[in-house]
Amino acid sequence: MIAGPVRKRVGWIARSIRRYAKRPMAMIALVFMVVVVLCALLADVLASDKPILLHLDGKLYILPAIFDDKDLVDHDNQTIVAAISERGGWAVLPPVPYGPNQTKVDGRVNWLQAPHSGHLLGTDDSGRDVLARIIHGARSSQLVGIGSIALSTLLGVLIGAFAAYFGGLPDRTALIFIETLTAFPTFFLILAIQGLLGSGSLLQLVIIIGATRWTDVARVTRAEVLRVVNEDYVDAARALGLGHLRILFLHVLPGAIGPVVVSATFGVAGAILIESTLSFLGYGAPPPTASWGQLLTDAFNNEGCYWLTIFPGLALSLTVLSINLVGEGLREAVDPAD
Amino acid sequence: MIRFLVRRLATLLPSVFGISLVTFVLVNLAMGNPDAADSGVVSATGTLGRETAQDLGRAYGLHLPLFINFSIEDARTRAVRDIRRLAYPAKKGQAVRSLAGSGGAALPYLAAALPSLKGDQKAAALSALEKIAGRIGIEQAVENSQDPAAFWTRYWSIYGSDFTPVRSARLVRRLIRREDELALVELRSLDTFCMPEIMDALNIDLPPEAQTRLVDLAMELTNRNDPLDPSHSRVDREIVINRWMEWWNQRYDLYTTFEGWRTVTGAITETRYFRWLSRFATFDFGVSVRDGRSVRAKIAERLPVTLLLSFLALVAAYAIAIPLGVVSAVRHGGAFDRVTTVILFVVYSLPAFWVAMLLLRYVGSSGHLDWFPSQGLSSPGSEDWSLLRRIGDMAHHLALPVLCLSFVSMAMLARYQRVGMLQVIEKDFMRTARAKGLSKTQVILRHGLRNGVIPVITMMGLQLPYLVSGSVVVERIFGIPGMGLETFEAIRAGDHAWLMAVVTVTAVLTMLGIVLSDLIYAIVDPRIVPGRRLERQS
Repeated sequence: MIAGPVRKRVGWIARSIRRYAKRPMAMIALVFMVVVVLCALLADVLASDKPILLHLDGKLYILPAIFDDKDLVDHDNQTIVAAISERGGWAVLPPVPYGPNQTKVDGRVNWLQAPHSGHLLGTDDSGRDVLARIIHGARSSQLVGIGSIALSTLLGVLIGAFAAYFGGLPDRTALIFIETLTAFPTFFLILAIQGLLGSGSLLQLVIIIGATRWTDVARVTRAEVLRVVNEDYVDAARALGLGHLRILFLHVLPGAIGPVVVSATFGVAGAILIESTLSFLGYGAPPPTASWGQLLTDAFNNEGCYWLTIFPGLALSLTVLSINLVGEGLREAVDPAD
Repeated sequence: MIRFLVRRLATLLPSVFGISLVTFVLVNLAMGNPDAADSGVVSATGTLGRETAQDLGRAYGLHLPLFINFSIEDARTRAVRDIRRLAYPAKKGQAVRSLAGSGGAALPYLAAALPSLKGDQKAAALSALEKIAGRIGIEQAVENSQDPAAFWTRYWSIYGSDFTPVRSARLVRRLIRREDELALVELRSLDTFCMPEIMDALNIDLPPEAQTRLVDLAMELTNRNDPLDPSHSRVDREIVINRWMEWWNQRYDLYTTFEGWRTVTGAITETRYFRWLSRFATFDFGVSVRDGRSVRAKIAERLPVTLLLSFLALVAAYAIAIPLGVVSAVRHGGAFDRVTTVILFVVYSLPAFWVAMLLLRYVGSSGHLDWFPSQGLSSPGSEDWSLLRRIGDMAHHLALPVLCLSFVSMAMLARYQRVGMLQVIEKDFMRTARAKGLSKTQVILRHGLRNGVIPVITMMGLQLPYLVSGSVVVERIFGIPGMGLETFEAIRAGDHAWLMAVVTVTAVLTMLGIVLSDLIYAIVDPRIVPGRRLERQS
């Protein structure tokens, strides 16, 4: 046997990342996604009715909005600035100095103001700042999108993998179950469940969407596991006398995970659309939770307020578009043959 | 082909069973939630406002076991249990109330058991009988008698043989034929015992006067106030009858004694799941709390609108997607291909409700450009127009909704069509066709298209759930009176009957749609051996 030149072995994950990085659109979309997720995580710092740092009357407050400081309950950025100019001290204000549910600025309610220097994206029909609500809306939308798809991926991978690995009766049962759930118009089903249970929290939404949308992932996992299960290395593992669960989770599933991740990524986009559509209809998370769909309801109820229609709609469309682009990039990175 | 169809339909059975199970879980989930049950009752201030939360539970058989019923409850077992309870001081009051409330339906068992009862139990039984005597109009005779127990024994030995379903059915027939005072008196003396026969009679088509007589009697016997006016229109009368039948479906077991086979089959039929299954199989989902009409009738009215909308959207999506995908594939890598690919990708990511709003604002009648009407299906006054003009008017109204409903499917299908066509173009037979002298267009249209379109056709079944789902938003925004709009309103009103119905109906319809698309697939691609199980690509 002739030994070839020693080459560093590169795993398929590293190869996929390299292929992904070569696609500029996919990278831009990924950066945008990171920004949106950061917005969701840091919403309370980016847009809040309390300062980030505040030094007043000899006391230092750090992120009073998050730690719910008792002294500042009745204050917002505007009253605090007034207090500072009177009593001295300093404050670091958030980039958007309004809370998502703050209806009054300097004691006045500014309904439906068009964008201007005070409110960069205008105000809604309760006088709340649209930009602040868009930033906090990213939180609802990412929570539901990522949370529900994490749940449905877990369900789908387990069901799909068990069905394909064991075959026979489990497989047939799972297929019937998948076919049954596929027949339900998903959005109708989710809407009806929301109606029957009464609109609850965001968590309820996460569970409902997660429990109804696992069929796509299960189908993909099943197909992949069926493909992988016939590979030689799986036979080898079996010959070594390894247990079924160990073979399935440590040897079969890692080889099948690529397309599952792709499917889950597209699923996040779908879940975000479902969340915003439910909120738009008024059956999403209950008010005053900020949500892009709910902002668009305001737009629907208030004709002629272009800022209510355009900005939340753009936020939603760009997020969904970038997730789809990431998914598309992942698909080509994982499976270059396609 | 017929064998293929039959086989395909047979593979549906497990799935239809699955649908009924899923919806059954939903029913129990919803009814197990006290909030939902409350909201349903609170908002039902209109037609069904009188019914209580317990009735809502009864509608879905929540008092029954889930799948198998080992101890079937009917009028007899209920009465026997109540009589046994009469012996216990703590349960006596409730048992007396229950017996007195059951009235004539409990009388046969109570009167027959009376001689064997002793002491307190007997006294309690007599007090229950006294209330029943008031209902059947013999309280005077009971009062005048020295010994009520002896009176009841005598009464039962004389009239006991009257308490038979055959006799009450005969009396009900007499009441239907004409205003028969004698039959009415006799029926009153049977009290609730004759309810099964009255409700059976109401179920068939009767002249309005006969229906009124029966409903009046039922009202008298059950204290449920829901009168029928014979002068009202047929539709209004049907609404009242529907409410009565729904009420009866929920509590027939309180008044009926199961005989013969029903005591055996009851183990299956008197369960929560079977109740749901029988509703499911007959598409009888009860009465809507919003307007008291039967849900089935409402679906019959709303479904065609949604189906028309979905069908048009499906046609539009395919009509645009196939040429777009083919041209993209033929000019693979060219400017046209690259631009359409990007545009399709963006279009695919747009939220339908946002696009609908933008269209409504900017090209609908509420915007600056008044190009399209924005609400409903037809213009006011269009009833008098000619057929052609009415169709044109409807098309004008439907243009925007169909566009909003179809664009996501269109973008997806066009992408798949492009990929499918690209694969076909590389095939050997395409080169052969070109080599034998066909023009490029001819090759594409005759050999390429037929093969390239197959993957897209197989996706038709999967489009249906999307389209039906999308109809909620589109109908809401454009005010189209279909299933979606009604569902939107139903949630607000807590109309659980409608929600259950709509989930079931859309699922079954989608299932049939998938079969239909499989059939089209088999027609387009005859290589599929009829009867072989299809593997749909996802």
